[in-house]
Amino acid sequence: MDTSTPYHIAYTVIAVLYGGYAFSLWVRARRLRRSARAFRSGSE
Amino acid sequence: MSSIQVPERRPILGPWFAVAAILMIGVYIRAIFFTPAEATQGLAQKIYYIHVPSAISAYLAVSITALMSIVYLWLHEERADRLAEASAEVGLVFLSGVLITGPLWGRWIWGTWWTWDARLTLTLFLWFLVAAYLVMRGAIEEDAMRARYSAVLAVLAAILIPFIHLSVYMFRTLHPMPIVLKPSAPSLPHEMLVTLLFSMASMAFLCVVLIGARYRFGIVRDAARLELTGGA
Repeated sequence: MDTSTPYHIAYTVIAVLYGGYAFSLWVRARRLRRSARAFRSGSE
Repeated sequence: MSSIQVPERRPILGPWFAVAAILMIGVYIRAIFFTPAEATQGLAQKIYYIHVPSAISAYLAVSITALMSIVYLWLHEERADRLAEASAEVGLVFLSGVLITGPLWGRWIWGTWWTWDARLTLTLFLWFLVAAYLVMRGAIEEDAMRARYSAVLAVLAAILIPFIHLSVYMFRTLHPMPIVLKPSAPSLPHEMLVTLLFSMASMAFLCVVLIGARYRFGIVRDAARLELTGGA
């Protein structure tokens, strides 16, 4: 294994982990807002 | 029906997240292309520029959790509890980053993925405590009780942080001694030191931005819960 392989893996993992977490926040909030909007329009 | 509505306008990930992402790309470019390789470890040592800043950011997040928990226990302020929860979740993500990048580096320089030495074990223990904090919050339905119990656990968890940092002085360990965060001057070549400090500042900024995003998500979640259940 080349000495650069561990850091390529580590940097990719960090980008996926932190970026993925931020994306998950965005998706979860979007889902909540959508269900609240659906609830509001359904109860009108 | 409750008059509270889910806040629609405020984006969860604002422009500061874009700034943090650009800074992190800058860290990658500087660490990979503009920082010399270490003589004995080779290019694998570059994991250092994300491993240590992830650890510092995790300590920052868990410390904010503990501080906000103390504020909650003192003032019973709901916003402090929400900020404590946000910091804990982000802290868990950064601790996961530490516990993933550490073994990747250790496998290369020590020849093993994991060893049960003091610093590694205490860091893993902190990860479990923060995970337990979040699981406990999900398990208790009554708001005040959830905030009070989790605040006590958060303060106890944060006590581990100085022990983790000092564990390399207190116990015989495979983990290297601090070469920057120590009483004497940093023993790191100038170019490596600049990369490390840039990475620490960028990652701490990303950590704070994510805590802010998670805090706003908490507001949306609580408002949605109130709106959908009519405050029941």
